[in-house]
Amino acid sequence: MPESLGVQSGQRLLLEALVHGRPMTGVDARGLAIYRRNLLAGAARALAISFSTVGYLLGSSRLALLAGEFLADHGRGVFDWGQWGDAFPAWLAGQQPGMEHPYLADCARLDWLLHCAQRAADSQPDYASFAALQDADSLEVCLDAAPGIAVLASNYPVVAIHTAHADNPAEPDLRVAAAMLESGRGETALVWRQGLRTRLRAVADDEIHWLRLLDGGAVTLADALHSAPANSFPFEQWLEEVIREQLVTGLSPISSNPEDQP
Amino acid sequence: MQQVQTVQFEPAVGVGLRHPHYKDALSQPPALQFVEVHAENFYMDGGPALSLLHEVRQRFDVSIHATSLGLGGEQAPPATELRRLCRLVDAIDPILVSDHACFAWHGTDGQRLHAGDLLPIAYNDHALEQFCANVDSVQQVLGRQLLVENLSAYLNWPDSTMGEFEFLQRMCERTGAGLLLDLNNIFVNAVNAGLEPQLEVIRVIASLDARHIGEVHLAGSTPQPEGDLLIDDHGTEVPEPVWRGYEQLLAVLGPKPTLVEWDTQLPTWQVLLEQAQRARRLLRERHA
Repeated sequence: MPESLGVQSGQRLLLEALVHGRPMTGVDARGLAIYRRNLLAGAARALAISFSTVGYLLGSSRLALLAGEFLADHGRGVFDWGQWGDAFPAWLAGQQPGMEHPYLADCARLDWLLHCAQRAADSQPDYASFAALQDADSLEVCLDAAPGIAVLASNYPVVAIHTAHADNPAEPDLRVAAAMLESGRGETALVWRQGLRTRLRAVADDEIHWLRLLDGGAVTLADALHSAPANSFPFEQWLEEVIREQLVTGLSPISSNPEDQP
Repeated sequence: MQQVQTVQFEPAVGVGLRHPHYKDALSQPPALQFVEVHAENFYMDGGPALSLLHEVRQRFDVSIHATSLGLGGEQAPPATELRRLCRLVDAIDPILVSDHACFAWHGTDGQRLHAGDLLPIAYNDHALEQFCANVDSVQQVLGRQLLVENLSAYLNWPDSTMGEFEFLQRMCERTGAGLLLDLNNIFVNAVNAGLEPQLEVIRVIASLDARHIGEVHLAGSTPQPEGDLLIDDHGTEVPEPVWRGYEQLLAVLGPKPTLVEWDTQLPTWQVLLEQAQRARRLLRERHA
């Protein structure tokens, strides 16, 4: 390494050489190659863990190649590989595999939501808080949502694709997903953590309105009921079900919602 | 530099605990005194991995081994990362906390590049100043002693003016940090430099102050084709020359907490335990 570079610029130059796969004057090419291989292997491993469905769809070798290209385009600014990849779905949409298979980017988005849910803070259901539903004023409450909760509306059957691979990675049964793709049917995916288990299911069309209740206390029960579409959605049955699924972990009076505080 | 509290305990033997071994570690009779985990694998806010670590903690003492702080970088580790490490240390109450004598990243938010690797540093007075400041800042946040591991390096900086272990010992004296002595790293560096590894291990051990050694790492490296650099991949059992170096270390520096690392091409849990048992036998012979 050239002495004139000094510590500061030398460290930066070495990092850039590693990330972009460039040679560096005065540096042992064998050593540089070792660090470069380690970096690429780390990137490939990280994406394979965080984007399992994309890995199944593309194969590990192709995902590893994409990891190297993504690394070159986006670098790695985080200290934990587990946090690396939030920009990957949008990036993937602009790459050849994403353009050839437009559902791929949404599959990646869903993978990332599942990955984040798995790492979200733990939360215990507050069953006692549900007693507030018995009171006359109980509709002025917000629902406490499960850790890691997220909704992804997609033009593609992302839940069916993910589930087929999760159920049987070696021989996924993609008949349902293929039929939905063929007919242009998309899905809205709902991700959350039930205890330590990451959960995923598709959202029914008439359920979408009520998901606003799970959006961090933005809507009270009263508001949601007031603005409900005129249909026969079985709200009470739905509420029982989402409590049972631990999609809802408790009730909070609106005054205790931090966003409502002056 | 402020003084930090150091922890003294009976020399113990442990292994690096990796995900495929969790089930065995939790279900079989505990044959180890401690296990070591990589800090960054548990930087999440919650979920199954952290829950598993808490379960492990009920059964074993734990050493937390960080890999990403980049103590040899020109900038102090960011507060957010220190908070993550601190949160994990507070939650797990480990017997040891360590990182490496390396740099790993450069730049500020938005411009930061992180190598995800342990990159070598120059050993000179300027680097020592920065290194000590970084170690000191970490120790102040943690409120406890940090151990710093010597590196297996595949590049050298030409502006080094002192040896690796002179640098590390001066750092220990100035910061109160301890040295995590990785014997395989000395072995790997010696092989790659064309030195006789056994002699190099003996030379290094003879140069060390026993008071600085807080932990010893033992590991193996997969042999490489002729002409290639030996890589510290922690992918084999501890080789005989490293065992002999360990015996020498015990004879010269005395018993130290010792950990067997195996990170790639993982063996069965039983094979890993046998490696740890060999270390324990040697340690007890010297401790008796």
